[in-house]
Order: sequence, then structure tokens, then C-alpha cells
Amino acid sequence: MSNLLDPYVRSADALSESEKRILVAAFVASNVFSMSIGRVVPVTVGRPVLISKNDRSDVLIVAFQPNSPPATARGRIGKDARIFPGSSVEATFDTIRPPFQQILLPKEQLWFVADVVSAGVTGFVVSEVTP
Amino acid sequence: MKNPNMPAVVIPLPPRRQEPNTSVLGDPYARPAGEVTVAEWRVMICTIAGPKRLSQGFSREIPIPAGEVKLLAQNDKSYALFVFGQARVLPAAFVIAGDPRATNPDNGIRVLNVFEQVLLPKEKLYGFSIAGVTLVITEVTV
Repeated sequence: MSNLLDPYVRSADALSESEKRILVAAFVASNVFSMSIGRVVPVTVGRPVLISKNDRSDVLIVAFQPNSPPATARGRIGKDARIFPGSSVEATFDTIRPPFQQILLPKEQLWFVADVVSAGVTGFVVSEVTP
Repeated sequence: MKNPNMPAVVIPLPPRRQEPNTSVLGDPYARPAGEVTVAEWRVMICTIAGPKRLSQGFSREIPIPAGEVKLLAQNDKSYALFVFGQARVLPAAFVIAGDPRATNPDNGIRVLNVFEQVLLPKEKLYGFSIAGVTLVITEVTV
């Protein structure tokens, strides 16, 4: 990357502690979700549910997947309960892949509304780890 | 086999910096870690952590009418902007590019359903679709 063309360039070592923690969290996220005891969050199709909330960590890694393998689910994620098609990210979950992961900074929340869940799924297993 | 009558052709690598190369591995482009700028760090953070921060991003719907070029995202205030796009209705094929002149299937990047991009300051991202498509664009910066 050319520094001469970058109007936002600053000297090094000015990276904030939060940014360093995000980087660390993103690197380790794939490998730490088994290090905590998961809890089940009941899910109802079409109704927003609070999956997780970071109320005491600098960075929180949240991993979640359907609680009844083999299963698939599709839904939308967002930062508050106002989750609508077109204004949120659509995600697909299944139990043959690693859990879906998100990184939450302080005070941030993770909400989910299910569009489709396969038979037998009553909720999502949510694991939370802070690096 | 070398021809003794032919002069040797040597194409040296251009020196990137004036300081002597201290890399033990002999990488001519190696830099000390302390020289990595904050902007470069942020690009790296966005690239690695962007997908895992999508739930906290801002999403909006952008319809691209058939045959038209639309501005999808523009980084006008961040060091690095992570852009995630997904078609509202699947499957959908479209083209993305950083220049509106490069948004046809011959010289743009062809995408099926979803894409991820990192935009540096002042950079823009355009989309084009032959048949028309509606994209949900989510932007996250860290």
C-alpha cells in the first residue's frame, strides 16, 4: 500500500488497544469456541431473539449453531431487535460446519431472527469466549 | 549454456527503502514491524475481522436496474471499510469494480450471490447487472 497516497496515514504504534484485541479475537475465534460451556437460546421463526450481549469484556467472541444435529437454519443477524430483510445480513447455519461466529465490542448486542429452521431445532447453542 | 560473447543481463530489483536490508531471509521488501502504518493495520483488521463484525454493521438495499451501473459503497471517512454484499434473491449474477468503466462482464469482477471487499480511503465500489438485481450492502469499519 502506498503511504504517499493515503490521506489518513499516521505513524505506527497508534493502534488502539481495542483494535489489537479485535485482531487477536479474529485470529483465534475459530479455535476457542469449544472452551466454554454453551447455553441454549430458544428460537421461534419470525421472532427476534437476543443471542448475546457484551456487557463486561473488551472483546467477546460469540459462536452459535442449531441445537439439534443434523440441522440447518437460515435467518438474519443484527445489532438490535429491528431486523428486516434488506437492512440486515442473511446467514445460513448448519451443524456440519463450524459454528457461526461474531465478535462483539463493549455494549454491543447480537440479535437473530430465524426465517427457516429444520425439524427438531428448538433453539441455538451459544458459546461465548473472551480472548 | 552461457554464451561468452553475450554480455550478462542483470535486472536488479528496485530498492524499496534506503536502509540496508536486515532480513535474514533475504526478502528485498522486508520492513521492520514498527514501520507498518496504522492504515495498514486497519486494512488487516478489516480483512480478517470484517466478516465477524457484520452483525454490527449498517445494511441498506441497493437495486441495480438491468443494464445500469450503480454506486454500491464509498469510503469517504474510514481508514479501511469492509463491504459485504449479498443478493436479495438467489441465485443472482452481477459485476463489481472500483471504476464505473470496468463494470461490464468483460472487464469487471463477476460475482455470484455474495462478495466481500475492503475499500481504502476515497475508493468506491460500483455494481452492474445485465438482468437487474437488488443487493443488500453491509458496511463495517474497525
